[in-house]
Amino acid sequence: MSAADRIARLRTAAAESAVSVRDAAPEDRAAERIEDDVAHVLADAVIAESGAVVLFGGDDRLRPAMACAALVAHVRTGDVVDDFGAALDRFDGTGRMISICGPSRTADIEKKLVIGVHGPREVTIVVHGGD
Amino acid sequence: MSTPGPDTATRRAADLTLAKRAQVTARAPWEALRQEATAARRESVERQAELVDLFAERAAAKGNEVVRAGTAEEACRAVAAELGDAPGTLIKAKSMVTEEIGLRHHLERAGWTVYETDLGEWIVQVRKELPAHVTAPAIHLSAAEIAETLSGVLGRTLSSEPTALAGAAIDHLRGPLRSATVGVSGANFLIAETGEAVVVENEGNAYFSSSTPKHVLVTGIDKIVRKRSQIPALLKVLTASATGQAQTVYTHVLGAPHGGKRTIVLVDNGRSHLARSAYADAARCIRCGACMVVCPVFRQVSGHGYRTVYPGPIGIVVAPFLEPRAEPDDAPYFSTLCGACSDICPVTIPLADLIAKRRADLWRDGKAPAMVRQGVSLWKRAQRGGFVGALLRPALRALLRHPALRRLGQATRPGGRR
Repeated sequence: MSAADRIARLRTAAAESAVSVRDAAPEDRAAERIEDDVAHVLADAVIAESGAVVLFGGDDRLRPAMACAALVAHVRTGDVVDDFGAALDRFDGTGRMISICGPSRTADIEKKLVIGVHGPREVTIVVHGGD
Repeated sequence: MSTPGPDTATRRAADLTLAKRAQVTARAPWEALRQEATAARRESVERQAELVDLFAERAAAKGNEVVRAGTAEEACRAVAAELGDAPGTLIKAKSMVTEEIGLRHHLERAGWTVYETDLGEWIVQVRKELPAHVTAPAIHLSAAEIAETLSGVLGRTLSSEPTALAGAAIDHLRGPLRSATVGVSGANFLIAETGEAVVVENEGNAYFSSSTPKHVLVTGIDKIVRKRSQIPALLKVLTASATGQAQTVYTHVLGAPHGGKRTIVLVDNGRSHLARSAYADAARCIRCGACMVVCPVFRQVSGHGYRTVYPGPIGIVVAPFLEPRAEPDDAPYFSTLCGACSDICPVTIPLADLIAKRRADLWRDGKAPAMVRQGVSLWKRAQRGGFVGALLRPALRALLRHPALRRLGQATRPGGRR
């Protein structure tokens, strides 16, 4: 699959998973930080098939991202992979791999969907050109 | 209008789950995925002992402490020993294995304050009930019933609107979830070749429960799979079958502990026996619960009707191995043998055949329930003819047309399957 096809597939899948995808604007700074309860992370991979953001590492890095109200994942086009298996292939086994596919949710009460539980209630992917 | 009872809540939730599942499976190469998942799990069962040894070795090499527990009691003691003798607060993610071994009660008796942090699991915890379904613990409850329970627990009147109810629960659990230093979770799969554990969830509570400075992962040896490349197909069939999702919000792959301590307790408790038995096909189970929501009997009685931790068709088959003390001999008769469970199973377990086999075993051992033994002798008597037979035959036919039995038949094949 070409990079352009992969991005197109990502946009479709992300919409279904309630994940926003946008191209980086000049003012978008790709650096990990927490700003006003928004966690900015540099995604280790993004999955085109589902719109999931993939992070590797220790909980010192992952916990703040999971505890924020919103997650903004910056990704280079070269780190957009086809599917979960391709993301797993990149994991070196240190710490944890977490795949985050959309806002945290529950349907434990009468199967009715409730958005925003213990993880971020908004997930945005910012695509930065280049590999 | 009457308040919907537990069976109504179960049927509504089951229908919604089946409808969502149908949408996901229609868009996937479902049969191919099902065969791939079946092949992977067949290997898990056939090579269970060897793969579990490999997992234990590789997980330990990654810095996890690995403990093997033969029985429920050993498993509870191992977890308690790991947690130490200064009980405090711990957070827990959903795990059927911990229900099976009675871990929460064991820890509470030792003085621990245990918070179940999955919403449905917390609801059944405060109601002092078992989960009514393996992936949807509160499937038997209406929002109104949940509102009544939670209003009592939180000491204020809550509306029965799911967003408001979930919000109240989230606020209540947030403190312990963010600050606890001890967490307990289960796992959906263990990867032998890499020593990694895979956990899926939607709420984010399993993340917090597995990233505490001290994390104890408790799971069954049946969760073993050989290699990473078998995971994607297994995850797809699991999430589609359990909740009708193409994927869950979170998928965790736990490798080498980083900054904290992780202990992995591998529980046998009848699993190796099951894997070598005539019921070994059931050891492939990935605990999705699809056989439950599709079952005409489960849809009527919900999970608690079975009086076992594992309800529904799969529970009928595995409970005698995993919960020998609970084993109710009438459970195999909680089935119409219609085969809906076998048809829907994502790892092609021939459930209806295994339930029929269980009945045959009980009959052979003289353990079939009295109602069944008397019923069978009544039919035999009717077929023998004569005056008594002539009277019995129409009476028995009328009994079979009883409205209660007819309703059971109509609930078969929900959603117009087949």
